[in-house]
Amino acid sequence: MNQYYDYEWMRGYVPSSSKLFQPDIAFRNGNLFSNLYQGYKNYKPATLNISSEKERKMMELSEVCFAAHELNLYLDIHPEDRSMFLLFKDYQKKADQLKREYEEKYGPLCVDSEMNNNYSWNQSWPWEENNV
Amino acid sequence: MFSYQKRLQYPVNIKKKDLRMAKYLVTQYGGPNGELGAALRYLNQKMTMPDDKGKALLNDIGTEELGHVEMLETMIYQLMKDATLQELKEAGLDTHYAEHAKALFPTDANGVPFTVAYFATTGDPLADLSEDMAAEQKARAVYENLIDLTDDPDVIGPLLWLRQREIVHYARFKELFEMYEKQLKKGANEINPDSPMLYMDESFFQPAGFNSYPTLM
Repeated sequence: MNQYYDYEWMRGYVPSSSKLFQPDIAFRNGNLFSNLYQGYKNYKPATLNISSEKERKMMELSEVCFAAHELNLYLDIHPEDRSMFLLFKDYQKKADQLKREYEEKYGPLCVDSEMNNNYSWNQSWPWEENNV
Repeated sequence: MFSYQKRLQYPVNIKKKDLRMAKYLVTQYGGPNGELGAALRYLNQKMTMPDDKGKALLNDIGTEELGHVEMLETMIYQLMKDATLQELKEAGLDTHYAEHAKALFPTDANGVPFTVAYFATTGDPLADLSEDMAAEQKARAVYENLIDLTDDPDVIGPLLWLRQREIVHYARFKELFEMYEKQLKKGANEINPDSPMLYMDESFFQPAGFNSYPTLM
């Protein structure tokens, strides 16, 4: 179980979800689908350290967005898979909510965000700071 | 069109300067198996994919690859940003400095500039998807070589992650390739009956009757 927040909202759906990693694990692995996962030598996926509330919020958002994106690629070629579609919709909804929460506190992630009140868009670029 | 989200797809926080690693990593930015080539190849090929599945997959993987371009740029930038001129010289990046100072420039690890020849597009969906599958495997292999060349966990983490993305993309391309191949074997026209590019029915290959030639004069 994820230590920061739970995924109760997505439980109980999908027979095929048994083959899926939870979003936090999937994000660390770079792969939502346990049957596709292939490690390299003895390397383990990096442990992502979180040192602030801002980073924690960004991490949650990144995890759910990643899970939704993985399902997006799957659904591109399996659009008839209803249970995966419902899971995709759930992750997407959760991602929208987390994005809103992040932007309310820390400023816009997209230039068309409602939170772009005093044009803080031109500040803080992800390649330049601690950008988890 | 595209819009920008102000975040990396996966975090990059490299604290230790390493110019030799920057010199190697650049190949996954602008080399033959790099992310820039992948992104532009898929976004180019999506136009002529024969059905909705192909258009969607090429579009969405191509878009993700643009995010990987940004991750690679970030890694190279962070590895190089604090370097002195003397350190650049010692690492063999003096020739890079001569033309680009500390700006990024997409090349392979030997400095050969990015070229659109890396698109390698034929317009045949099976040939193009074979190219894409090979591209993902080659990128995976190069990421493994790069992981072997460093012991910095801040560099290894994102490289392992990007390597894993190649594995997923390869699997999706392969699934699509197999779907198309199966339909082609069935002689199916239903992929897109309006596409002149694909899967002509048998009559196309019959020799035309003499009378069907246009009469001259």
